[in-house]
Amino acid sequence: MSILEAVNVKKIYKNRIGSAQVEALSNINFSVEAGEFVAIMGESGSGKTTLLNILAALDTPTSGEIYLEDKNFSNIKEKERAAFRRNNLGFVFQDFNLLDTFTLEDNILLPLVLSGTPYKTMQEKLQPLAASLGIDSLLKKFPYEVSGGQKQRTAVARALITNPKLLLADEPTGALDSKASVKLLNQFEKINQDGQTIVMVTHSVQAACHASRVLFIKDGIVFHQIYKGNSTKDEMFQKINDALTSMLSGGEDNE
Amino acid sequence: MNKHIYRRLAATNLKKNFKIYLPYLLTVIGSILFYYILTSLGINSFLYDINSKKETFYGARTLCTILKTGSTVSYLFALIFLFYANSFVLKHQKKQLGLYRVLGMERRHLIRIILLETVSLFSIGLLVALFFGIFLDKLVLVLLFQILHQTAPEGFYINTSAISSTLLLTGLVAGLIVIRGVFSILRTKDIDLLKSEKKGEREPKNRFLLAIAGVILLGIGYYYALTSHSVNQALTTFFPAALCVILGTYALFTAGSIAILKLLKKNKKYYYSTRHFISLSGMLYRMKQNAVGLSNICILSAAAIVVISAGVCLYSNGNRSIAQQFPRAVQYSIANQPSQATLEEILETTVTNHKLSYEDMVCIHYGNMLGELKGNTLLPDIPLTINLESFPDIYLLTLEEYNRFNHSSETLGENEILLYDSDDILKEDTLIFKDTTYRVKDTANKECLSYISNYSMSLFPKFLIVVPDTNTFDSFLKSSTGFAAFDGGITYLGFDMNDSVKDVKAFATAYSDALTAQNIANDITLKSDEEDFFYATYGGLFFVGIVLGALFLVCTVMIIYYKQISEGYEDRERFLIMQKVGLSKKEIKQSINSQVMLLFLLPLIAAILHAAVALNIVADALSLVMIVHMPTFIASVAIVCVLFSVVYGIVYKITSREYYGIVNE
Repeated sequence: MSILEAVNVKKIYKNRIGSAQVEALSNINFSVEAGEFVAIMGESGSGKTTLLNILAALDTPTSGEIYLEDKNFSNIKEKERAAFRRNNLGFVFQDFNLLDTFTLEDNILLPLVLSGTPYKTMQEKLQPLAASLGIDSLLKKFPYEVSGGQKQRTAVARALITNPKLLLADEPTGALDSKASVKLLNQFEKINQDGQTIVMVTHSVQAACHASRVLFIKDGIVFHQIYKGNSTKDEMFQKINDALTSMLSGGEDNE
Repeated sequence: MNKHIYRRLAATNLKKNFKIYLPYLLTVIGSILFYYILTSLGINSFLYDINSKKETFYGARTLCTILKTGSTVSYLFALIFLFYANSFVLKHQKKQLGLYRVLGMERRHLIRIILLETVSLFSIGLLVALFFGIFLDKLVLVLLFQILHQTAPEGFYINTSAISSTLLLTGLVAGLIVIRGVFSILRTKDIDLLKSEKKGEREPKNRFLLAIAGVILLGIGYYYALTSHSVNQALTTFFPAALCVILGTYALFTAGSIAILKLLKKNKKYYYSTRHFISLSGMLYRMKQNAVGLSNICILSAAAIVVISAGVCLYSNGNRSIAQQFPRAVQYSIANQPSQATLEEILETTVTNHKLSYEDMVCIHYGNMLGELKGNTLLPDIPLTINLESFPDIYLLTLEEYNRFNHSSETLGENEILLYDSDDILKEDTLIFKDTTYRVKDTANKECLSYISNYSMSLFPKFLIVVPDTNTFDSFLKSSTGFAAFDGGITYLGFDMNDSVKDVKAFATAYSDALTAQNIANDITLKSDEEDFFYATYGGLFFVGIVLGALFLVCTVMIIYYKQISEGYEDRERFLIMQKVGLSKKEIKQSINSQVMLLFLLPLIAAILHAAVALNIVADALSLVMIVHMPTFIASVAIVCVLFSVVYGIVYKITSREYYGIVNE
């Protein structure tokens, strides 16, 4: 069953006077099956972040539709959008976006508090999640007291605590050192194996080879895609690299 | 390096950070303007000519002293506020300067930029303030004369001595601010220069002891204020009480608020609910950063409310107070114990000569002495150190005179007296004087005191003693030391006249001369003179109160503005994150609103509470100079509170818009 579907998504940015137009996304079509781990790759300026913002309901497409479990995003009113996001989507950002004024625990609990979950239920959800992410001993600390990797794992916990249908990650390893990156990506794989659908935007090949499928975006369209299938990480790494090289050389071949 | 570059950098800095510098500039202009106006009125030949030592009206010299004191006070406050405003600007400046530092400037270059910025800002401020000051000078003078019930002088003038004093003191402030800026730059590391805007992320510590100290201090201050029951007590306890309240306010705002918030946070059920979660931790950080600013606002507002309403009360209560202190238009204190018949006879003659008439004549013969009360023994000697509370100002009346005045028919046995004791200092019902024990038969009617009591003695408690006969009266007076002139007692004579001030004056002098011709020593008090003096003094105080109140208000406005702006910049990031995590704009706005409203109301409510508690002690202190009519005083405090809240609210609305603009940018 496809959990997320993008149909003919187009996004045009206009400047204030409206004379100059920039087409960020020209025609995006793809779908994500439940339980998939999809990486979206592309160069800077290829429209990755625009796409993710649209998938996250933070931005609206100029035309085209996004379906989450057959529910059309564009039909959701502005008022309900925040609640929709809270209940259905989880986010992990490059720069963590943790609130300095909250402890890690409170940062993680924030979405639950906003949807009015009783405190007991919150704790029941928090403990196993924190333990699985290895941050259970840090819960009373503040973001400025922990490392980047620990911050990002906190952000992952915050994204997962609502049991979202879809986890969206925007360059989650962008601000991490290589060791922390690997640890985080392994965690993503583990979560994915437990059944969590993940869509991750990245330009790191290292990160992308943890995914079960990689979509390549170029000039506002889905240019190419690679399935991991049964290949090993090294083979996947090689395949992605090849695809990127051919994209850069402007090659037309589709394998 | 090119010399012009500093000027250009300073200029761009000023232009780019308009939002930060404009209110600073306005504060500079405002404080210079207030100082200039008070100084210019204080040294003004239209009021008091220093060279010829001539007063324009009775009391003008006192008025000038009050105005000069006012200008000194305004200067001190302006100094504090400009430093405070400067700290906001400096925080902002540092980031910019840090960038220049990274780009390769040396510290001395930064100092030059700071110097240029400060000098140009103060020069602009000074020019604008003096421009308005010179124009407003005359207008304010006319206003002042209006308040004083005097006719304003004509002619335009430029007060050079006020201008030069303003120039000098502004230069001094600017110099101090430059020195402070230089020190702060020399002390900070480059990396901190860049980051100086991003500080204070740690959760505030819980300082229970300070919070408790705050409660105790506030309690002591409030206790003093509420329990004051005499001028004397008010004057001795006012400053300690005010100090306790100020310190208590600081302690409670800084530590108390955090203690309460932390306590609420500990209650998991309360904390982890949608309504409280964000607000509670938001408040915790806001209080950490703003506690001092909020206490400043609170104390300033309380001071402004008290000062303005005391001024309003003094002024609006003036006529009533004068009427009570001087119940008749013309009053005499007459020595030599002439009979009432003699006095009236001479009065009739003078009246006939002047073709005038008088009415409501009051004549009382009384004795006045001081003494020290020890237990229930009254000692006639004046000790070297006077304890005001056991040192009554004593008025003596014979029973005959008392009954005549009150149209009563009291009787007293031997060694019996009637006593009125204003401060209840005699705890027993007997009074021992010169080895004789007098029994206090009853409380005396105090009405005659309004004629005979000396208002300059208002600090002392008052005794009215009615003695059975002339012998006792004399024995009391004869044994008192130091007031030999009043040995035989004094006669009060007062009457009203319906003629022009000039005629009344001429008549009063003529009568006094006629008495003197008969060897009757006397002293005139004219109500019209006292009115002049009253309005000159208290009209002046009222004026200074209003100007200082306005200055406090300007400073409060400035603090609120800077608070909102600096918070706006800090909150922006947090709200962006919350939006990403799944908070709708509406929810965010609600959460901001509730926090901001609370922060807005907290100092205002505390200030009004302080002012309300201060009512009692301030009224007591005011009764040193006037008879305070409590309903008038309460009404003036209430009106000032309402007006103040309205102005505060408007300012708040305007600055809030600025805040939302920044947050939603």
